[in-house]
Amino acid sequence: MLRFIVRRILQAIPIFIGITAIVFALANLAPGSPADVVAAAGNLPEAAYEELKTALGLDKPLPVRYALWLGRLLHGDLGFSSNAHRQVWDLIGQRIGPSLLLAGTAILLALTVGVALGVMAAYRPYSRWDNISSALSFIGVSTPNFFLSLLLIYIFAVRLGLLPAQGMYYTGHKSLSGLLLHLLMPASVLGLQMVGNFVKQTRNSMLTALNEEYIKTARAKGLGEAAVVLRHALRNAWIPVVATLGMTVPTLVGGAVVTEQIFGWPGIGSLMVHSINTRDYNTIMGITVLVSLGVLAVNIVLDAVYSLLDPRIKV
Amino acid sequence: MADSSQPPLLEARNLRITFRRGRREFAVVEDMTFSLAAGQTLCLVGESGCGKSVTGNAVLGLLPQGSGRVAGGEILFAGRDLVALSAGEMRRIRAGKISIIFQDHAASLNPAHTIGRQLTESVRTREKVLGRGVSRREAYGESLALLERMGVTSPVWRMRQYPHELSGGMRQRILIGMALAKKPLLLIADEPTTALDVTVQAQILDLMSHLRRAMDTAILFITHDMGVVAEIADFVLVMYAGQMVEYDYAGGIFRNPLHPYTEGLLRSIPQPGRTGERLFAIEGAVPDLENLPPGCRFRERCPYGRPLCARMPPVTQLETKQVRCWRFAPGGEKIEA
Ligand SMILES: Nc1ncnc2c1ncn2[C@@H]1O[C@H](COP(=O)(O)OP(=O)(O)O)[C@@H](O)[C@H]1O
Ligand SMILES: [Mg+2]
Repeated sequence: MLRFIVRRILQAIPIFIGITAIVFALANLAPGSPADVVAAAGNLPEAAYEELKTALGLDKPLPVRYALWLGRLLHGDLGFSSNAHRQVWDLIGQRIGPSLLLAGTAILLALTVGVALGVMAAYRPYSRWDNISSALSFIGVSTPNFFLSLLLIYIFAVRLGLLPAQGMYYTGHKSLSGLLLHLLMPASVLGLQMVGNFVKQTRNSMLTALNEEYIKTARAKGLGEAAVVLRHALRNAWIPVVATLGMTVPTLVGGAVVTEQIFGWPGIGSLMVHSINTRDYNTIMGITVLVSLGVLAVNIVLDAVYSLLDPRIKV
Repeated sequence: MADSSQPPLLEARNLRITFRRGRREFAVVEDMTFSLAAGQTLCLVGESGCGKSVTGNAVLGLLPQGSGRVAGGEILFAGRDLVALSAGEMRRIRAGKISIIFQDHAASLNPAHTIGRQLTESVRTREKVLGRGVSRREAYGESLALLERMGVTSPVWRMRQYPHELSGGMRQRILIGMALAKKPLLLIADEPTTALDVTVQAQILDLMSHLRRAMDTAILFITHDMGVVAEIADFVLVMYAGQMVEYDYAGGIFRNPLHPYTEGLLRSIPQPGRTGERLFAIEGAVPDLENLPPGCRFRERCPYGRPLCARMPPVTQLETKQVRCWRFAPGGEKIEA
């Protein structure tokens, strides 16, 4: 097990370097630089502009700049935000909590609803539940994130006035109930995007599991249907569902950028959008490091969990 | 024709089982009547596809939901019709009265649960459904004792293992242990030795006959192997294409087989000392149950075929024996003439 994890971590290193190199190149090759942003804000003399570029290290060729950045990263230094005039670490540290909260709630929501619907759909194929769950999956997969967000805001915030449309807390006081109310819409939007995947996976693997001989053994023991379906079929069927969890993480990251922006959620996603707009290279790269490490780590952990769930897999 | 000295524990009367494919419903078992008393072993024998497993599964209501059903007749267990039971009543029968062992020992155990968990689950379900309670410790102890009785080596260690870590013979012992955990009055064994090699097969058969003597359990033993039948059967019911073709005491089947299909099955037993000879096999195959021709179902493969066989032969009672063949039907000759 330990050897497996070490091997997976070693494999992840080149992937990580590849991702950061590409993002570094894309960010730097896009027109405009942090110096331009500063210049655009006020009247900057030519000499000062050049000086600023040198100070920011923008005068050197791209590969050298990447190598220097990577060297600093190895010392745990993500650099200084050219926009917020603070350490990128601080900036991210402030935003990571809300993002994890939103993403975690969304996954939990999608997994609970998706697995429950998938189980019911497989237990009675082509029944009403099966139809409802396929309709829900279809809506989730095919409706753009922003559209769904705006629709929900219109209905629940504008029309019904039930839910807050912006931010994380009601202004003035931080309360748990306020947090949950603010969380509800963005988490649902993000979750709905993933729920279809979980429904489909669960339904497929439950259909397979329910046809297995050991299900007949379980019934022959005199167990009730709930025990047969949950303890025996689902115990085997949700192993492949866990495997697809890793695949949904990139969807989640992409979705979070849009959703956080629309709902004014103070997370990494909206920080990313802001950093791109202001050509804040160090912050962009800091977030890239964080997200890619996160995705790689999640996948390694899931593979390990997968082998724990299925006793036939030895790693 | 069953032993009249004992009231039957299990009795099937004119049992008819159908499957649905699309809109069509077709019978895979028809007009099956048999009975079995406590402590006796009845073998259902016939080639693959004759309806043996379907018959065994029907007893416990384990036909595939939505496609298979008992369409006629009754299955009486201690006088009660199992076909008419509610789901809750059937659970009580399954948990503490009738056990079943399936052929595929690799697929019949849950791959994600340890042996211990699956065994104790049987013990606990038995107690729960019968309205009693049993602690985890007690269930564990009882399961361990079962494994020991099944001749499983290092049982404490086995309890923590997963099915894929065990050999086929070991898995089959565990399945038998799980079945016996319920202290059943009736054990249905669906080809429990077919997937095992010969030595292990002999060990499992020994184990089963030993347990039967010790517990007085009735056994409905399903097999296609006449060699196995010879070792364990008190009664034999030969099935062909969903019907009974011959039914008798084991002795009557082996010493005086009447139906040409029974003859064929007996000639296909490998004889010790006659190795090297080509094994006899009945020519042809079991007809497609979805499109049965009228008349005797064995006609195509029968060496005695005659015009009369285009009509379905009646069941004839000859002393202890029942046989479905025109050659033994009273007046069969006359009708043909
Ligand atoms: N789930 C099923 N759906 C449709 N037909 C089935 C199913 N199970 C069994 N049958 C049919 O029932 C007949 C008897 O099958 P089975 O009882 O398994 O035979 P045996 O155990 O004697 O080999 C076969 O013709 C088979 O095609
Ligand atoms: Mg069978």
